Amino acid sequence: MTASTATITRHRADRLDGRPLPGLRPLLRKDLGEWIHGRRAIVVLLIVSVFMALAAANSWLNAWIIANVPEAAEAGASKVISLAPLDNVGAAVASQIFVFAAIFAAMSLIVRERESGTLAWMASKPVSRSSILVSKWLSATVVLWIVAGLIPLGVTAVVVTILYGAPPLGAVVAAGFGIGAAIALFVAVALAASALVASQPAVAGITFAAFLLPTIVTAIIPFDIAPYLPTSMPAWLMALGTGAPVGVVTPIAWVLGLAALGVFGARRMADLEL
Amino acid sequence: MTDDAAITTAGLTKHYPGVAALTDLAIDVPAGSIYGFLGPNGAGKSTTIKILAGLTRPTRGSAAVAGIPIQAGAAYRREVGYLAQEPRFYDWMTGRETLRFVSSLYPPERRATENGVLTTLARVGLGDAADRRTADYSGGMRQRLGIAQALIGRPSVLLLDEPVSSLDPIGRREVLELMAELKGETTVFYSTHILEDVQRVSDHVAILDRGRLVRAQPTADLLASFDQDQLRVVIGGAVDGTAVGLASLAGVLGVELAERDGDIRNFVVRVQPDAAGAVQAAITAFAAERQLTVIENHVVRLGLEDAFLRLVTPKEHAA
Repeated sequence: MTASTATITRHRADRLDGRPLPGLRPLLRKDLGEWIHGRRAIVVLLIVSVFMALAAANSWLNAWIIANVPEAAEAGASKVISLAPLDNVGAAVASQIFVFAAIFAAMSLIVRERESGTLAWMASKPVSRSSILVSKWLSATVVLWIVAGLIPLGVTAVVVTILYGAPPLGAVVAAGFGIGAAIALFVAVALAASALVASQPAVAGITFAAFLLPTIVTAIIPFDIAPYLPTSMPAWLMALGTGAPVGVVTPIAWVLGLAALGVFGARRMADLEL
Repeated sequence: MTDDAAITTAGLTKHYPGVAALTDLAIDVPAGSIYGFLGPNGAGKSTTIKILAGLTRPTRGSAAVAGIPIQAGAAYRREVGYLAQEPRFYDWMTGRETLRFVSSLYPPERRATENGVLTTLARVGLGDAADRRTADYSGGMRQRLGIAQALIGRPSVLLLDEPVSSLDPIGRREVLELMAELKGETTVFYSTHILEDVQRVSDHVAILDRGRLVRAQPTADLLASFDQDQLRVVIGGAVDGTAVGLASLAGVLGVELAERDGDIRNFVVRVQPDAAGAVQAAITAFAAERQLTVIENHVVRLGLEDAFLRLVTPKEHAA
């Protein structure tokens, strides 16, 4: 075997008896089990739910302060932005706390296993490294979508209904999918970064940079590039849910972004020295 | 490559920038053998095992297990059971769950039944600890669970990286006994720097030094090859000229005075290959001529440690 033959056909090495992604199902069961046995999901659920509920209640709290504490209102400490139900669901979603939670929860998924040696253990089994990566991504996305997206959004919807009235169901459902799209993307960024660097702070740094960069770039560039960014997917879905006109560029950018991260992560994983 | 080789490597090389970890390793590991891979720290043992486990890619060269080349990826790793130097498992799983999980990673025809999982755990002495979390296992228990998980997929070869180096004497004995039990059932390829263990359980040995193979042969042959080249000769009534006289005998390469007690002198006589018998006879005749008493005149049986030290260059001398 020469150096060139050593790198032959990654796709062949990623198959077993012709089946792609060998070992994906048991790995997925194991990764989901790990989420269930750990405390991270509970911590994320509590923090994100409380934060989003408070963000949704912010306008109602300000209105209450204005009505009951005249000094604060005169000093301009409080002002009511909107008491419309949908606006306050939007305020909770726009806080993007679920993205921070996703990055916090996903940054250690590969790195910790690499440090402990369980990644090498798994990689010595008849599974492909792509299976390991896909399993991590799928399990983290599903669990985080539930604990950092759907449940907190449900709590938010209840709070909004109590304080402002029922928000339009379509918009709430769209927000749920939007949060899922954002979580899927940033978990993928964190995993791809984990295949590139070996420390949690470095993974967190890269992923937060990917989170903040679009905001900075869109502020600097004189024309609107937001629709072309995969990070705009939650806003696109929210717009779709409220019946606003939307194009197809953003979902295409989101799919392409995920695919690029997947290919990059899989290639890096295949080359990792364990 | 021999037909019955479980592991075959040819020109296997791994170079990191500025470090030649392994250079041109060529070995054939007979199927069913317990193959000790011996070398000092930094000799390239772990690098070799990691390449064979599919964890790192060689810079060049080839390796195959049961005829399946390493590039086959998952199909290759199906034939390999790997135990890391300090095995780590998911600490929220029990021993039973760990084996179930590992078994589920193999194709259906290789998967163990629940009974198979329990039998394997019992075999490594963990039957009573099957439902304890692995986080609560001792070092020896983790090592035995490591062997169990490596065995559960019925691989052609077990690759054990320093399986006993971190264990206490009891744990070490248990793991070595377990390895010895596997002889003939599967091929065990393990690295170690503990010579006594190799001599105790290995039927074949390869010695690696500075990333290069120094010797690879059956353990008994390796030791026998050194047995034939050294005699211990104890002579009573010896004088200063006795050593010179012994050195002049045909087939003698050198004579060294090892010990002296009055006129009894103990010599180490190095002889040419296959000349031990003739030299022994010549020494007997030499002593008779000079009216010396031959107290001992026999071939020195070297241990693996002596053989190892002769084959491996001390670092300070090689630098």
